[in-house]
Amino acid sequence: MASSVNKAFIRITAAQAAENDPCDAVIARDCIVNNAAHIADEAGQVRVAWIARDNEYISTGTHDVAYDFTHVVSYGPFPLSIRSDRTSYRMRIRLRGHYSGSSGDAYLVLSGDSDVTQAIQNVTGNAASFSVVSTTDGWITPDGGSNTVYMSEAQVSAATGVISTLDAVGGSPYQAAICTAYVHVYASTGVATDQIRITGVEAAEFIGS
Amino acid sequence: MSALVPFNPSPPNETRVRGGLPISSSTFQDAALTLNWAMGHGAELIPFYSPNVNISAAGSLTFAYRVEPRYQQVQRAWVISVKSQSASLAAFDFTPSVSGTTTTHYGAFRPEDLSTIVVVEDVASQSASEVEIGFTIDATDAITVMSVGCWEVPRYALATSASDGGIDLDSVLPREPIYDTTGKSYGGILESVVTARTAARRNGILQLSWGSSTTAGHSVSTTSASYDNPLRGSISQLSRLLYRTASAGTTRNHYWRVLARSAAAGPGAADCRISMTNGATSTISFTPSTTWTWYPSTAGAANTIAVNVEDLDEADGRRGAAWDDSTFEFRIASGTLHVASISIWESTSNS
Repeated sequence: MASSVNKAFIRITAAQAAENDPCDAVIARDCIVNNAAHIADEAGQVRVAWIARDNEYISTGTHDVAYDFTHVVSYGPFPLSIRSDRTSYRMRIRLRGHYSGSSGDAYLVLSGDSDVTQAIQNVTGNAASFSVVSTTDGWITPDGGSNTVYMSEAQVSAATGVISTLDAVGGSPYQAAICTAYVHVYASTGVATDQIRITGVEAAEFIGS
Repeated sequence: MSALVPFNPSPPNETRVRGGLPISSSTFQDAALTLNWAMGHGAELIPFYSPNVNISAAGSLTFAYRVEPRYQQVQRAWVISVKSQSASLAAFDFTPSVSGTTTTHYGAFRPEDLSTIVVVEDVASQSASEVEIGFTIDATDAITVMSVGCWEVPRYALATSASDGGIDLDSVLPREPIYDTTGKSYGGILESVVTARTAARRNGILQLSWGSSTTAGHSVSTTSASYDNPLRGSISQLSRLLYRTASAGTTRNHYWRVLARSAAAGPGAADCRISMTNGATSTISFTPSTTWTWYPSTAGAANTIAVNVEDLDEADGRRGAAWDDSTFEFRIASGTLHVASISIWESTSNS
């Protein structure tokens, strides 16, 4: 839902915005409305960007129960960017890995909670599942094909709090409201001693189409 | 009220601006709020990644990154998670390189107890210049560094200066006059649109540091005279789309440096190369020193690599629904090349 009409920045000349010039509708529409909206549309940040060194991985290790989702790695908290509709910017995600022993599943979850293992089977829009069916390492296509996850208005609200922030270098402390979130990776296999091995994670904010 | 930074943007509505009609105060208010948010809501300096490096008991490791922070940054938050290598809590000291303030923390053993620490570091002065930031971990007990990230702490309010770019919300209330002053009214909004075009960039694109050490399992290394990828494969980059013109094309430059050294004196010439799926390549050529050094030299400009810009008509922003992947390859004519850090960021130089 790009909010700028032109979905791009519009250039004007300095003379068009010179002092004492009137504020006409064209300048206001292009320079103020479109450009301010486009700046916000493209203000999403890269929150996770990792690829492992050769022969390296992070794995579930041996877990207690077959098919039990086990925590692999978490990234965050970070200040999630929120859209004007109070849902989060869409997170363009990617997961890389392979299995050792027997195939399994991995979940990537965008959440305001520091651990969501117990609720993982219930998450929907803020999670993506990946079938890990190869022993050859590579980026894995998400089940269903969508590369984006996001937090709903209710999830954003639940994850919103305040942090202390300064008004200037060495200045006075104030409180700012922010929504903090994590990217979690969980995995499971049918044999408790087998492993899902994660070798890359990407998560970048995008306004959404 | 001043140049407050809101919780979320409120893009102004284009349909409220038409020829022959007055431009309402709410249009200016929405633009001011949106610009204040874009510049002050907190950018990612170091996108989270997993160093996955072990530090032995009484060991020490320093992580370094090249960044171009926003001028609006007054504090940054380091977020790291650490795991104990034994079934008991492991103590370690964390010292950001700029503030130099050391704090002691503990890492747990079980993955589900993974300990995340957040350390806020104040900056000495506001600047958007390229700089090295980082931290040192001094481990009391053996630990594994599982993830690292760093973001600029969101601002409560911006200053209404030309550099900070904030717009005083009082100046765009109904029945206020329209005038041309930095940080206020219509003139201030026009100036801040230009400021925000650069300031609201995505700072960190890819920041990988495994610590300045030549110990096995830390920095990546090669002895190959032909190009060798020391990573698992490729990883994508995608840049902001600014202009939709033929001259602007479909790629923009990101900037990059590597922190490298040779294992011994008298090494051969070395290359570090990025190859993008879009066909672009960028090579940093140097003869490494035996001490850790940034290449190309920080006395000059960083190297650039052209990467795809986003497509706002796509559901996930990927141009042509394809990942623009970066493949990293290193080589050295003779000797051993160690690379401790790869830093890629969006610069103020091409905004």
